[in-house]
Amino acid sequence: MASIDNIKKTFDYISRELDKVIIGQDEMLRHLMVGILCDANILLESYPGLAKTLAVKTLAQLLDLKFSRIQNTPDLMPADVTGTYIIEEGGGKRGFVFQPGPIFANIVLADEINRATPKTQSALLEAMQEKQVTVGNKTFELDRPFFVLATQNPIEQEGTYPLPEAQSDRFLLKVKITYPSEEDEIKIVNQYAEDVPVPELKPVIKKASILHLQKLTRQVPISNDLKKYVVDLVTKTRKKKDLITYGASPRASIGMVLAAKARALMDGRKYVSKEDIHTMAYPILRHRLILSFEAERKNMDVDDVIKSLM
Amino acid sequence: MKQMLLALRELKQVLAQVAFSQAVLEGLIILLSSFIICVLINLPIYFGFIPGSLYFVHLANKKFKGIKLSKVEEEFPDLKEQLTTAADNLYRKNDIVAGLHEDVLRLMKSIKTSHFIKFKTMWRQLVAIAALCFALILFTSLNMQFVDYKEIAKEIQEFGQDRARPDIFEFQQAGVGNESDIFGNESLAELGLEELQVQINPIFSEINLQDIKEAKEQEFEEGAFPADIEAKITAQEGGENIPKEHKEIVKKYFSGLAAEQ
Repeated sequence: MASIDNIKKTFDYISRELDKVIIGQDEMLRHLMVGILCDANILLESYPGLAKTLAVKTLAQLLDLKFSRIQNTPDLMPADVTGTYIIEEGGGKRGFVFQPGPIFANIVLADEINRATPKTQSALLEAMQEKQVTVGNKTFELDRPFFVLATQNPIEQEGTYPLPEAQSDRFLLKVKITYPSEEDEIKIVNQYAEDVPVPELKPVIKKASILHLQKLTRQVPISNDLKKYVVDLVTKTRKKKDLITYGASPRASIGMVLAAKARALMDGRKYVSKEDIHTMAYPILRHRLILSFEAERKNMDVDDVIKSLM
Repeated sequence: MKQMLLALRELKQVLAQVAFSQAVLEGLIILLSSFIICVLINLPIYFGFIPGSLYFVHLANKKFKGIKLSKVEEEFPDLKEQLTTAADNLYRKNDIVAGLHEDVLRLMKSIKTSHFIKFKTMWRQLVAIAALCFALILFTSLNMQFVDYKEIAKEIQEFGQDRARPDIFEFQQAGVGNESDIFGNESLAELGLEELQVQINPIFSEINLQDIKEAKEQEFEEGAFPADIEAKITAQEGGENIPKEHKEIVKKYFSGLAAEQ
């Protein structure tokens, strides 16, 4: 087994390699890694042009994983996502052959998921939850590790189908991507607007190692006090009726502990600290809370409410 | 895992010993204070054991319940969150937990018992105990009392009760007349109604009750004792000239006293 120090070195190396291509999005990249380690899916909320596709593509390259992209539109059908049977002719015979859809990859980027119809969204969500796809009367297992990164545009909400709360709960994290700083934007311009070759990245770890790391993540120990703290925090979201209409489910408690363990592993620690819980509380709870009018009246956004709970 | 278990057990033992010692010191202070209060209010000294022992039991219970690994982590920042996590995951078997146990065991080697003892507080407690012992001995030897508990209890008991007392004037009003020359001062009669409180101070007394010896047989010399004096004096020779009627009054008075008893 790779020691914890080696694991930290590996992740540090991955971060450095990612920094060569993606500039100024360290937090997003860390959250992506957390999602992969937790064997879970991530919802990204960002404005267009913030290197979401590039980040995921680069990550897939470094982790030696198959990458595919689904651009969601209102006319996208479930079969376009999962795949379908087509007639193939060969050797004088005709038959139905299953043509797998873009979902048959290790890392799937579902761009603007809120633009797809609920029917198409459910096909994707079923794959996310069950790690399998059912077409006709046959079920196809998806290759492991399987990771979906769905994105949402916070503007241009007309004609969209926002994910219902029950569906967005299936995403482990909701990551908000902000614009880069001025300094970082200058670096981006220097890298991509000049005649500078994009660095070619080589895979750092193999698929089997990622599966092993996912197993190790669950082995990271956490103290009983911290578990209780997590449960108390999630319970508070259900009780604070003045600011929150609907709170988080126990899935949030599970997710918060897992995400904290992943963060601890990435930092080379053999234990979960309270700081891990505090850091991961925001992306874990953001999409699981429905704020009340009172919170809006006080000009509080979700992050402010989460901060007040802690 | 076994080593971790033994180390945690040893750590908890040390913490328990320190907590017990602290409880003993604080309990002693309360015990000595109770003794002093008992001496000052003239209460039997064994009553002081009640608050002293109750406080000791309560404090010991509180201190034992307060033995937490998080307190050790506060003293040793290197162990922060690791010790509690290692203890809570003692029986889990995987490489990460094994690695954590190894790290914690290595860090625990720097833990010394003296880290949990607050020497300044302990020093103050010892000085307080010494001062209280001195005060107790001083108050006992001086027989110092601020309030007599028994007197207060008695007064509370007698409060509101109508107690009949023999009045000298009643006898006077019975037809005897004002005969203070015969009966003497009223205060002499009243003295018999008060309770006499006598206390022997064992320290300042010259009598040594421990000095018990066998009685010695002694032979006394002739002439050691004065000769017997025989006196025969009649009432007239003694200068007493008491009229017969007054004798009757005296006789009646003493008969009346005897009848009352």
